[in-house]
Amino acid sequence: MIAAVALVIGVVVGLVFRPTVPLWIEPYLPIAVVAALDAVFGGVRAQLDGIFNAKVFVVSFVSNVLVAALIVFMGDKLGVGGQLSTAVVVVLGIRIFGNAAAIRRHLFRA
Amino acid sequence: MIQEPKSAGGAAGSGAADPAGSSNAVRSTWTTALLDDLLTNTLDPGYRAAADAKQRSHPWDQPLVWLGCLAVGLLLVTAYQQNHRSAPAREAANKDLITRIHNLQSAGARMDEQAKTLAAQVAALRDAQLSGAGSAELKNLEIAAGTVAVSGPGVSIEVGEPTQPQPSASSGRDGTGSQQQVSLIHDRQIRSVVNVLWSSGAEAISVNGIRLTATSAIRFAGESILVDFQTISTPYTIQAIGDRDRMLLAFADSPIARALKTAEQVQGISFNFAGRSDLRLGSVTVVQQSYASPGASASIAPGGAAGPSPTTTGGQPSPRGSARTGSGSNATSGGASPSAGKPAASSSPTPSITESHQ
Repeated sequence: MIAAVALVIGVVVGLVFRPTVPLWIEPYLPIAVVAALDAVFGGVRAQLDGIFNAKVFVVSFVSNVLVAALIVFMGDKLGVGGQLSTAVVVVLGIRIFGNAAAIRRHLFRA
Repeated sequence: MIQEPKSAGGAAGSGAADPAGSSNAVRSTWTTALLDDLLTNTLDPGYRAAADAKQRSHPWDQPLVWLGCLAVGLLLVTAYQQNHRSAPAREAANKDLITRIHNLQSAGARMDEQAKTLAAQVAALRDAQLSGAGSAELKNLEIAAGTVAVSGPGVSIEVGEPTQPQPSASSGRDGTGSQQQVSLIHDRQIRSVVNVLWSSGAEAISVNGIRLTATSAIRFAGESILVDFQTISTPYTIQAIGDRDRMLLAFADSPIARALKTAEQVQGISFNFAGRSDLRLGSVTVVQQSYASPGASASIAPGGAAGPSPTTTGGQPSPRGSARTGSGSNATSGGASPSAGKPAASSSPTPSITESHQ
């Protein structure tokens, strides 16, 4: 509950302050968002499973974002940035879907 | 595992392979095990491990989660804003570039116009000074070089891309193909047409209003045809001044005309040609000779056989007889080059071109 409030506060802060993103970060932002979504869905599912752990959540969030950005960065340097972005999105997308399905089963028993 | 594969999600349905009991078939199922793992174990294993380790809760857990969620919200909205704010910026930059291009183009056109006016003044002053035969010879040379606007009878050939886009060969859904269809008319066709016209006695040719000179090149870059480094687009109008009937006959009989006719029927390009009684062709603005310098006057002798004839890749051998002996030594490969042999036009008994200074 408090997490949802924090999420909303984060959104509001972003809307109010409109942080400008440095140009060199811009390519990694979309992939970082997908990684963050993966961490969030994982956290929600762990909460519903009753095994939520704050440290795991934060560490997985930060490392997901960093690793996703790093992969894209390396791909850009190697000339396969687009393909590696696709790979990251596919893997994280599968995980998000799986977690969303588990959350749905928890919530609706279906 | 918490998640029973109930085949509810569909994706996890086939992932019933038991990783524990498959030790004898590890190698064959290794790749599928990887995929199964990806599909079934969507939860970060760290949660389970932490729960099994029975760690005590720390006082900083709650603020940590708080901060994490704050960061996620911030990230989401920042990415959204970035995406939606940078789109108009990109568009504005594009528009700015387009307006700059248009401004420079119009400035270039203005200067072009000015240069033409000045050149006409220079020509008028020179004509006032010169007299008689020298002046007439000079005018003929100017016509051949393309530095004066000319008018006269000739032929006009129009070739255009099909208006209906061709069904592209690339597979995919509708609307996923590139917006720019592959053009059917290339520089080669235009060049062939121009070469046929030169070889059948054209005295001046322009393509989409760009007068061809001895150093003109018709080339292809990307998806557009360049004439003297100026982009032209469909429909392509090739106008030639000369012996109308002979050019029409030669062109109608040429391989390129047959090829274009076929393309018209098969691929739907537009193609027609007709004789015109009064064509007006503009002049080239600046003729810069970087290397050539005036030499012996033999090259401008009437009927002089010196100098190569225009390239005749169009197929028709030059019907001009003695005036066009040397064949096809074309310096600019691919360029339609009337070359230095053009003064031969002045040897025809009745020049069909009348000069018109603008």
